[in-house]
Amino acid sequence: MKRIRLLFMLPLTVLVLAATGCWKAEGPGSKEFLEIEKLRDDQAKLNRFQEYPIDIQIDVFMFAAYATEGAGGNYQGYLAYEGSKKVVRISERIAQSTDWYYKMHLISAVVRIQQECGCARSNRVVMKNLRNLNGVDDGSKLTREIRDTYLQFLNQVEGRP
Amino acid sequence: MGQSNNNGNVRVYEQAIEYDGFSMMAEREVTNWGQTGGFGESYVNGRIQNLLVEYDASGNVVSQPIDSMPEGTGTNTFDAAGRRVKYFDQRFGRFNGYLNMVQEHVTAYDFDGDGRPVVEKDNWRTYPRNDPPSGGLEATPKVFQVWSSVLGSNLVTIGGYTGGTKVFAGGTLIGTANANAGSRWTTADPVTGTTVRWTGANGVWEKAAEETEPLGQLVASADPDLDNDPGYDYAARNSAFPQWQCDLPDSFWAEDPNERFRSMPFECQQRVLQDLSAGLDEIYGFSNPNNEPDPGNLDHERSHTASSGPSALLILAASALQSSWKPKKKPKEKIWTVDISYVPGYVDASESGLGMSSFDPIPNCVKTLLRNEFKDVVIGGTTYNAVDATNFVVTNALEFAGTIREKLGIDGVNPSAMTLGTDVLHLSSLNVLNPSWEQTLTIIEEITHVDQFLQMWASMVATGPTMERFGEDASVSLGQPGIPTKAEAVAQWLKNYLKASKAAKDSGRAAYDNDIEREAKNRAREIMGRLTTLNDTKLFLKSPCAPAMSAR
Repeated sequence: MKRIRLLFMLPLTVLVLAATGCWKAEGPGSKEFLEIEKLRDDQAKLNRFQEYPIDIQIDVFMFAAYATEGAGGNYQGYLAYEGSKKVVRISERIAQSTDWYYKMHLISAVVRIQQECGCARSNRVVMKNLRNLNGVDDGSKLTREIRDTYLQFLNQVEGRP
Repeated sequence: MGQSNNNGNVRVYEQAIEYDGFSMMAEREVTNWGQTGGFGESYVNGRIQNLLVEYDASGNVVSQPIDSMPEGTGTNTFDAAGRRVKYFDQRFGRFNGYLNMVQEHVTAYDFDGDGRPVVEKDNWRTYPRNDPPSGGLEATPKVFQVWSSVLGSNLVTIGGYTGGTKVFAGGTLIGTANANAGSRWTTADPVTGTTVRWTGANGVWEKAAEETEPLGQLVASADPDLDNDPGYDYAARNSAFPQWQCDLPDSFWAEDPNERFRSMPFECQQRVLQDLSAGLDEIYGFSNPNNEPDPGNLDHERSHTASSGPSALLILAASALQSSWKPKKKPKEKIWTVDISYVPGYVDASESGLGMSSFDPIPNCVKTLLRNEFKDVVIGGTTYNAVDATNFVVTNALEFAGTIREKLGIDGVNPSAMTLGTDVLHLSSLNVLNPSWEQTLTIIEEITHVDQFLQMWASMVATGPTMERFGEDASVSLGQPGIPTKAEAVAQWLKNYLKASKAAKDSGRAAYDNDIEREAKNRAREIMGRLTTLNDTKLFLKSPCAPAMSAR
C-alpha cells in the first residue's frame, strides 16, 4: 500500500515543485514584477523596485494590484517608499486614467504617502490631479462602489473625515 | 457455448489455462462474448509472488489489492480452525461524484458448534478521506441460516435479499422458495450440465438456461452486451482510464496556453471540469468543446496578465452572483457537488509531507478589527459572519487550482490563497497568525470572498430550492432540508467565477481581473483605508496585532 501511495505521490511532488514560481506574465510591469518576485528578501525586493524608473514602478504596482490576491499589498509600501519624490507623477497617472478601478488602486498609494510624509495634501499639483474626477461611469453598481472608494481615499488625503 | 448474434463473428466463450509444475494456475486467458480477460501469476511454495498479496503462516491470503477503485485493499481474518471469519476492504478514490473518498465494507460470520456459518454479518460506509469517522466499522447481522446436518447444507436463509428455503431432491438442490422474490426451481441436464432455472411467483414463471464452464464460472448464453464504455464517472482515476493522457505536460497539447484546454482529449477536459465542479455547457454554453468558440484571447489594452500561471484564486461571487444566478433555468443542467475535502490534491499534498494541512485561526485582534466590517448573513436559520466563518487552511495544494486555471485559459496570479466556500486554502507564506499590514490586506480580501460566498448562498436559499441535487452527503450539508447544501453552493460559486472570468475576457480584460475580484479588492482596499484612518498607520506597518492595536 505504501508503495502505491508513494508512486501516486511522486508526480504530485513534481507538480508542486514545478508549479512554484514557474509562471510568466504579460502586460506593463509584469516582467519587472516577476523579476522582483524571484527575490526572497523583502529588503532586496524593495531595493530592486526602487531601481526602476517611477513610471515602471507604477506599472509594477498596478500589475500587482490587478493580478495578485491581496492586491499586491507589499507593493503599496514599495511605491510609497520615498513617496515625496514620486507623488506628483503618481497623481498625473491617476488623472490620465479614466478607469475608476485603476484610479482607486493608485490613489490608495497616495493615501499612504500622505500618511508617511504629509507631502501630498500640501502639493497643489497633486491635489488638482486627484480632484480630477474624470473616471467613466458605466452605470454599474460595482463601478459606483469603486468610485466611492476613490472618493473616500481622496477625503483621507484631504484630511476630511 | 451459447450462440452468437453477430453472424458468428463473436467468440462466445473460450479459455486457455496453463498450470505450473505444482498444478497451480499460472495463466488463464478467457474470451467471453468477444471480451477478453485473463489472469497470470507465479507461485513459490504455493503462494502468489506479488508483494501486495500477503499470507499468514498457514498460507491463507490475509491481504490483497482491490482494483475497482484507484487503490484499495481487502483483508481476511481467519480463526484458529482456518475459517475466514471476517473480510474487510477499504477503497480509495472517486465515489458518487466526490473525490478522495473512502469506501469500507465488512462481512463476518458466526459459526455454530459444528463449524457451519449460521450468522452472516455485513456493513459498509463511505466517508471523505479527510474526515474519517471515529471507531472501526462493525459488521451487523444480516442473514441467519438454518442448517441440515443430513443434507450438509443450509435449509433456510432468513434475512437479506437472498433469503429463502431450499428444496432438495436426492441431496441435490432443486429449488428455493424466496420470501422476497418468489420461488426459484432449477433442473440440470446430467450430460450437458446445462441448468434451467425457473423463477417466478403466483403462477407467472420465467425460464432461463445457465451454462457454467468447468471452473464453475457462469457463461452467458446470449450476448450480455458488455459495455465497453463504462463512462467517465467510473473510469476516471481507474486503471481502465488512460489517465496518463491527462497527466501529460500541458505544453504537449498546445503551445498557446489559451488553446490547451480545447486541444486536450475530451476525457481530460471532463476531468478538469468535474474537478472544477463545472460543466462545459455551463461555462461556455456549449456541449461539444470542439465547436466551442475561443474562450478568449487575452489581448487587451492594458493586459495585466499572467497568462500561463499555475497560480490560484478560484474565488467567489456574490453580488455578481445575485444578479446572474437563476433557479431551474436549465433543468438538465449537470451540477457537480464540491467540498473542500474533495479538492483534488488536498489530501494528497498533506500526505506527501509537502503541505501539511492545518487550520490557522484568525487571531482575535484581527477578528475584533474586522468583525463590524462584515454584516451577518442568515442561511437556513443559521447566522454566519464571514470573519468567524472563514477557515484558513495551510496547504500546498494550490498548484491544482493553478493547473486547472491554466488549462481553462484563465490567467494566473500569485498563488497565495484560494477561497472555496468558507475555506481559504493558503500557502504557509501567508502569516495568518501574526499578519503584517500587507498580509492583513490579503486576509481581508479572502474574508471578503467568503462574505461574497455567504451572500450568494443566502440568495440561493431565498430564491428557493433550485439546484439539481445529486450526490448529496449529509457530512457536507450545513443547511437545513430544502436548501442548497454548502457543497452545492460551492459548486455554484466556482461556476459563477468561471462565468465572471469569461466575461472579463470578453470585455478585453485578463480573466482574473473579473468583477468578482474587482469587487473584493475594492472592498478590501476600502476597509483597510478606513482602518488606517482610524488607527496609527505605523502600527499597521508592523502588524494589526501589535500590542497597542490588540489592546483596542
